[in-house]
Amino acid sequence: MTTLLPPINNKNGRSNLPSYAKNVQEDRPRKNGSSRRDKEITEEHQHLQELQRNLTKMEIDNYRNSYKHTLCLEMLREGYHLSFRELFNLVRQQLEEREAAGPESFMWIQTMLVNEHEKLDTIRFFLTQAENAQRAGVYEDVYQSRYELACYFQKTGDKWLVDHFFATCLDTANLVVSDGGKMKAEAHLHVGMALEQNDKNLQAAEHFEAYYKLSKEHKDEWLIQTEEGLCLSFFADACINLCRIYTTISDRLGSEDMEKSLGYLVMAFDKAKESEETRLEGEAAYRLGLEYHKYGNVDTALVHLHNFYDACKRADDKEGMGRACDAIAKAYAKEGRKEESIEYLLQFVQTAEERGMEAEQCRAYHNLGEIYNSVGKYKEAREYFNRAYNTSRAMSDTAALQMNRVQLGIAEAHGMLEMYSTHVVQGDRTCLLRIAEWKSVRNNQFYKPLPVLADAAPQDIASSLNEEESRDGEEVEEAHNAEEEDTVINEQATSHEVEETG
Amino acid sequence: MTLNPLAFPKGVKYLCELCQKPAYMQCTQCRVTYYCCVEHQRADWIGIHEKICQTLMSLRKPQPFLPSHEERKKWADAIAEEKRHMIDLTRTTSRKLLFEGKHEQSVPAAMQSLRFAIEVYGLTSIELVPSYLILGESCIGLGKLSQADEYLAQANWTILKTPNSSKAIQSKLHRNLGLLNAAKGDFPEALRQLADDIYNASEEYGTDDIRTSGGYFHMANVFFRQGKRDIADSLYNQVTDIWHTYLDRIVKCRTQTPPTPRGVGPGAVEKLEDKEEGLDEAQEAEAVQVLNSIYDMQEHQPIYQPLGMAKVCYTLAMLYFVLHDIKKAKEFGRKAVVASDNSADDNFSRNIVEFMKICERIRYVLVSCSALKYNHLNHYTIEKEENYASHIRKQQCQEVT
Repeated sequence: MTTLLPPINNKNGRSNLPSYAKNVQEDRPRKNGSSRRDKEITEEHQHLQELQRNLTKMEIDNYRNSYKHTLCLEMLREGYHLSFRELFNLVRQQLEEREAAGPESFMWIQTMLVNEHEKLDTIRFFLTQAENAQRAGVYEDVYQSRYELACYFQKTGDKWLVDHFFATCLDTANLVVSDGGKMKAEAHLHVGMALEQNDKNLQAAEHFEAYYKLSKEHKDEWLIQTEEGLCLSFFADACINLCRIYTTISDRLGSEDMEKSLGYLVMAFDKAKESEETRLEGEAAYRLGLEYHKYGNVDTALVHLHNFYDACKRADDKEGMGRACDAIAKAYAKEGRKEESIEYLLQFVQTAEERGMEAEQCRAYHNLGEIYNSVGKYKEAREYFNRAYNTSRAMSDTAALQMNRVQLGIAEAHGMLEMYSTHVVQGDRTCLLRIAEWKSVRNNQFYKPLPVLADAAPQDIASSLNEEESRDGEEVEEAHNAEEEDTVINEQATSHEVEETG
Repeated sequence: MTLNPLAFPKGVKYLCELCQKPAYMQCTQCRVTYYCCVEHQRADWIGIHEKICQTLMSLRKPQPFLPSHEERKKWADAIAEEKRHMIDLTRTTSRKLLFEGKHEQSVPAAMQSLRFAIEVYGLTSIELVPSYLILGESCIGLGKLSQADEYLAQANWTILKTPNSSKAIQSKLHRNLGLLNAAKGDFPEALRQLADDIYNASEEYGTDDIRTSGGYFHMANVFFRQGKRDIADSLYNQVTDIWHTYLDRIVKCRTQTPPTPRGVGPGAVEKLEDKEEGLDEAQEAEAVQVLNSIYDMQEHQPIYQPLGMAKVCYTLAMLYFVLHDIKKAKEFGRKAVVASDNSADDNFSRNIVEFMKICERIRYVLVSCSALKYNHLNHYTIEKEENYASHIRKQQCQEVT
């Protein structure tokens, strides 16, 4: 069997080759010419292979796996398993949130953390740094790393990551004992801020309270540089934050739970007092005053509002003074002390005019007009309503414009009512003529002195007019109103048309 | 029972169950397994045959005559189902033996599982991979590294050829590769493989699952051997934490007062038992091995760390509690109490004390029951045990009166 196979190694050369192989052998010399080129090609090939060295297993894995996979492997290989755990869970958390948000959530459009390589790298860098520090037991450094991460994500606008890293900051800060709780206080502040931005006000308030308590003992030692270059103590900062958060909470509570919201405002006021910031204190007092006013407790409201007024006066804050006057006047009006009310309103008008604040001016005029109207000084009322009307027209504030216009009408009607009724009562020719004149062309001549009653007016005219003019003053007012409203409605209609065509 | 190969029917060759050489022996109980020598029979008996002897009989007997196609199909399905069940059983057994450190004994079971898997799924299926992995691991344990390499390479190839193979199996493969490399002394490569294991396991189960903790543990061992103590310590802590949380949940689940079952009958009882999560045999063995070695590590630390020690002891105590070894549980509980005496964490020590109380209670119940030769307690929760104890006590009173 074996003899049939050609020998593999043949020293003698071609003699033993089978017949079909001989041709190939003979072809060789011919091929030699081209073999140089072959050689060149193989050499080049080898050279290229040398240049492109074999890939290591790690490189193959890098090519096969996702970016996150490679990153995680590197972290684990270096022994940073806690960092791996945190990063991995963060990525997973985001994906789960997206799943939970449903298919219509906008999260499907946004780039996920998995695909943002720069952010992943940053997280890895700082977390491994933190883990190193943690192993060494230097919690200050851990805190610093985490804080920097939070700041980084604040810049990139990833809210949830900021929250996460501030929360872990707080956890770390709880372990730091060397600085008497300064880091803890800071961490509480950051977490509180983050929670506040997430609309979790009550939880935020808790953290701010912790911050307040911690900073209370170190009022003068712990200072922060604000952006304006001022030095602010942690304590004052805590007070300011607390004041703000309490106010927000009470705003949210609104009218649902009056007592609670009032309680929060009182707390805010206390904190504002402690912060020793005049302006803040004044504002808190103002809000408290308004709330008391709303609640019906006018005396307390007045006390707080006067506080605010004084504070503004001391700080020479015209705008604040204006607001204070406005609120005080309202409170007085509610109590029924119209003179004081008018006095403060006049002051309000004055400040508003000085400052050239049109909206405030308009409101001041309006309020004044109303007060005068209620005391029966129609002339002044008319004047102020007129001013209010003009200002609001200048501001092109439609709602105010319409209201002031109606009010102006009412005031005018009130002013005219007296003379008109005397005319009706007297009922002689001149009077009737004037009434008829007014009726037809709205020419007001009632203010002219009445003629002395000499003879009876011609009865025919009187009788002919009597039927029409026997309405009383109120009807006149109504008519006037109705007319005004008509124009208003017309105007609205035209404005709607304009809007539609526009 | 000795056999003479010449007496076999013509054309039939019986081969040894372990080495595939001509057989001279037969198992007298099932009469379907053959061995070449007494040693192999003994090894197989200890490894797996004891558990599967009866089942093998039913599986290996020839197909009975079944007239209709449906019946034949049904019979085949039943056999396949049975075989699948056998795969699970043999794998768990061999894994358990592995964790107990009995590498030699785990081989027969692993071989058996591989054989069943080939019968059910064919030669190239990914279902064979777990068996390959177990074989590889036992080879590592026995020091036959080249053979282990072969098995793992086979597994690796199968996984690579199967698109979308599950992360769980990949993690296991990487774990074994990591162990192999660690055994070879190639630590960087071992770390790379173990890192991949942890990553894949985390993808599958989450970072804080007991199935991920194995990777952490092996990684810690590698770092330990490299001399990086701080990293190893932090990893050991992580492993302890994972087990601690898990066991704590189980203990809480078992000791809480079960809500009064609505309705009477077996349905209500079943519902109660459903809720309870447990450990399978392999996991139990893994937990014992892992936690005990961490305990040893803590004990031999140059610097005594009371907190770590207390935690390990407490976790071990809970583990033995779950395994119904109350004596050991108490022993470790006491150690945990001693270790946590000086620690600042009040909550932790309070937990331990509470746990010790539960142990006391259980012990009392066990003693009072064992006096009455009641041995089937293990499957009952504490509440049931107490009920039973009070029941027995009543009976005693009646007998006395």
